[in-house]
Amino acid sequence: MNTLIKQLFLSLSLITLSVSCLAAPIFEIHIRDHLFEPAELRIPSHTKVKLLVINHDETPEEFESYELNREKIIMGNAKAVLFVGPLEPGRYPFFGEFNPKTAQGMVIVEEQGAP
Amino acid sequence: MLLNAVIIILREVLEASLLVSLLLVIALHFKLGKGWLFAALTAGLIGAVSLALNLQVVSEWFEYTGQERLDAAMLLVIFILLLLIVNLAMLATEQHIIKPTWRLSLQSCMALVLSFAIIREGAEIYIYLSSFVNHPQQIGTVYVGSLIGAAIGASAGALFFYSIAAIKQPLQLFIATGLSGLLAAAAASQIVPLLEQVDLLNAGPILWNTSNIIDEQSVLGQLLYAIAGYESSPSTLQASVYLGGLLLALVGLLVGVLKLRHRQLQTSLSVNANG
Repeated sequence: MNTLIKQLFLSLSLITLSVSCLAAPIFEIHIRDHLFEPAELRIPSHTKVKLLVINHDETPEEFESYELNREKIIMGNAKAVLFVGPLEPGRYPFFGEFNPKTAQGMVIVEEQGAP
Repeated sequence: MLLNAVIIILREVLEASLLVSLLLVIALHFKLGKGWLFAALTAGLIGAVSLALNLQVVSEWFEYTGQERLDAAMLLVIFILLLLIVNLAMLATEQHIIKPTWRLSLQSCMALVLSFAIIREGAEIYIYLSSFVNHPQQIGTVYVGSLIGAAIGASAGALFFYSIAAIKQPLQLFIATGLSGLLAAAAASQIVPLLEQVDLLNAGPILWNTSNIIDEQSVLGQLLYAIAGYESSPSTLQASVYLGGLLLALVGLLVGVLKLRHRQLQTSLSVNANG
């Protein structure tokens, strides 16, 4: 009985671990004074990635990218979630539509294992 | 700052004003009056402000997917209503056109579709403009820029309207409903990247990238986006949905063309018989 419980526990742990490895990696982008931080975000290629955009400004911003086909309003002092990928390696610019002169960034998609 | 305000407001107003133009052409053809237009403007503005004031709450629904779900739902309704308008306009006979139920159906569809379009664009405009309330040194510039952008958008819509209205019937109605069908396909296809954005869909690989031919950020690209939902790098699913929506709209148009040919044939046959 004890052996069975131990086996069950081990199997469940392995399943949970492998499932959590399948969950999309999370990257944060912060908006401060109408600037994106980091301005350049490196993510792995061919991987679905979760972006957590946190707006520290009082005013709303619209995260937008033509190359990534993404568009989302983030209200002041709020956060938003959006997914990108799986993407081919390359450079994908994004910007803040409400402050396009300053709020500019780039998602750099790199091959897995690249330095 | 001024130029930024012009561009943002212009883009939002343009999408709605092109729709207004098409609906006005159809309404004028069937002598439906303008009551539907004023109803849509009122409902749309109220809805836009309500959505803008509650967007933060909406954004947090369903684990931060609320904004996209609501937008997708509105786009789906817009798609269905535009298809209904195409079919109502194309399948109408002389007997239908005089019936109050048919006229009310078409007016309601037009009022509803325009309301949702105004809600979608208006909410973003409201959010953008209200963000400057606490920046008095910028308010003046932003509001002037917004007025200019709105005026340009409205002018483009007016130009669009008069261009189509100048075309002789029956081609005028076919073009207006055809372009409405194109807008329907565009609305449906925009659902795909929205739901992919919050991991509710897997849209598949990017099919092509035509940004070196027509850049989405260019004036032509923006115009094509507003009138036909142009996308320089569509995913497989997005292109499929667009094509499917277009085919559905074309069915309605084809039936309309066939009915017109049938009527023309009958008219010429009866003229020959009497002559």
